[in-house]
Amino acid sequence: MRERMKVRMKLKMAIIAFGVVCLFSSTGQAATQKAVAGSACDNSSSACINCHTDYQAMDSYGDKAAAGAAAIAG
Amino acid sequence: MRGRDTYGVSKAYLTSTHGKVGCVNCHKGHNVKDKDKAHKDMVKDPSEKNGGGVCQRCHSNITSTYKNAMHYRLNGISSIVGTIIKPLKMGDTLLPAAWKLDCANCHASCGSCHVAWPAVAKGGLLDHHNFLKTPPMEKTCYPCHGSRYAGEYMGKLGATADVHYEKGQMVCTDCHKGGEFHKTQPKGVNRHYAVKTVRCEQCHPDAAKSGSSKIAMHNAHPKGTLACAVCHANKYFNCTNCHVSLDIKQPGKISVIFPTDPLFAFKIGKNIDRSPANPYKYNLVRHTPFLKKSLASFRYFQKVLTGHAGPKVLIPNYDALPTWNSASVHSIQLRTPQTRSCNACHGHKELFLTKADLTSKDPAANLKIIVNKIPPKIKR
Repeated sequence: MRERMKVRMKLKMAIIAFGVVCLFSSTGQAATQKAVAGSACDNSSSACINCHTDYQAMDSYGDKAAAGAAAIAG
Repeated sequence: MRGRDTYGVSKAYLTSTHGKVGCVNCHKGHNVKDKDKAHKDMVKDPSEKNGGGVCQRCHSNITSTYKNAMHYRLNGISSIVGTIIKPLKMGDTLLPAAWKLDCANCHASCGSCHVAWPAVAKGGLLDHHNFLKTPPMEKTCYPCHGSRYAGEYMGKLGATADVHYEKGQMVCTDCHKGGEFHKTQPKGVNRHYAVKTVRCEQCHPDAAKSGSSKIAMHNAHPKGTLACAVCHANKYFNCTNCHVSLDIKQPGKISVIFPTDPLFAFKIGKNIDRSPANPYKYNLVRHTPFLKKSLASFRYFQKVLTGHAGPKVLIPNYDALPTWNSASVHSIQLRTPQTRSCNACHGHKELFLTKADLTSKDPAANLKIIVNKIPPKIKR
């Protein structure tokens, strides 16, 4: 009975220690960031970024933009 | 270069706090190469909805008040329009459509000041999508306020620029702090002159102290009589006749035109909007370009668009509000024609708004603004 209790206690301690290590290790941080990214900060905007950071591509839309050049309210 | 200035996103932005969030998290749309598919369901201005949109996620301390602020709600215009169309309601007229077509262009979302040019300037990014904590005056304030305050402040209208701009190199936000824009105080006010804002005497306490000032002219006028601008502003821009009208040049496309005539004038009038922020008995007054027939063309467009011309008179309560209104003229100078001598103003009828300045088309409320007794010349 006592042996069984000891094994159970050791197992509990091992699980807690593993949790603590995970939380403070870089692996844990990466996992947390990944979780946040998955919920609110999904960075999957590569296609948008590729196009909009290409200034020459953006210039091809210049005429349209120039036609709507700045105005002043009345 | 307009393309990159309008739609181009800088690589530096991508490493900023906002840039790390990812485009689709705010703008929606789709992360695909095809332009049309990528832009499907895209939200152009994600900061627009409910006074903050996606900004609310991190900046709820600001958006919680901004949703009721004047720059977001345009309370000023809506309260004026709501008053002069009484007993009609906005829904009875084409005004909601006109609101969307023109008035709402001056409505400002978070993005209209901090990320992109305001709608009236046809949009476009201010600085390649970088978020600017302090909105640049020329790109954000000027497009909406250029025909009056910002224009005269920067010397683009009238004889001189404002000394605070010309000599002090001050920008709008040096006086009008962010809190003023994000939160309209006191709560519930609808017009700019009632808003708690910076006052001249905060920076010029000695000069402005009436009764104990070093300046004789300040002592001569009892406290609360004259707004500082009455003596320290130069001639300023006014608009006459109609503010806007609608025109169909291309079939099916309605555009807004500005048929107003410019008028440079200087008129001292009675201040009927006295409040703790605007306590003066006399203030400069600026003409508001509006006539009883100003919205007449709406009936025609209403008929074209809805099949019903709507009410015959769209402004039944035209006489309720004046078309000469208290103005915070932004062409301040230390020396102006008025500061030359007492008799630069005293006895000069043309500087005052009198009955002779009114026309038969003016609303009855203008009679409350006119100065009946011109201060006589001072004899030495």
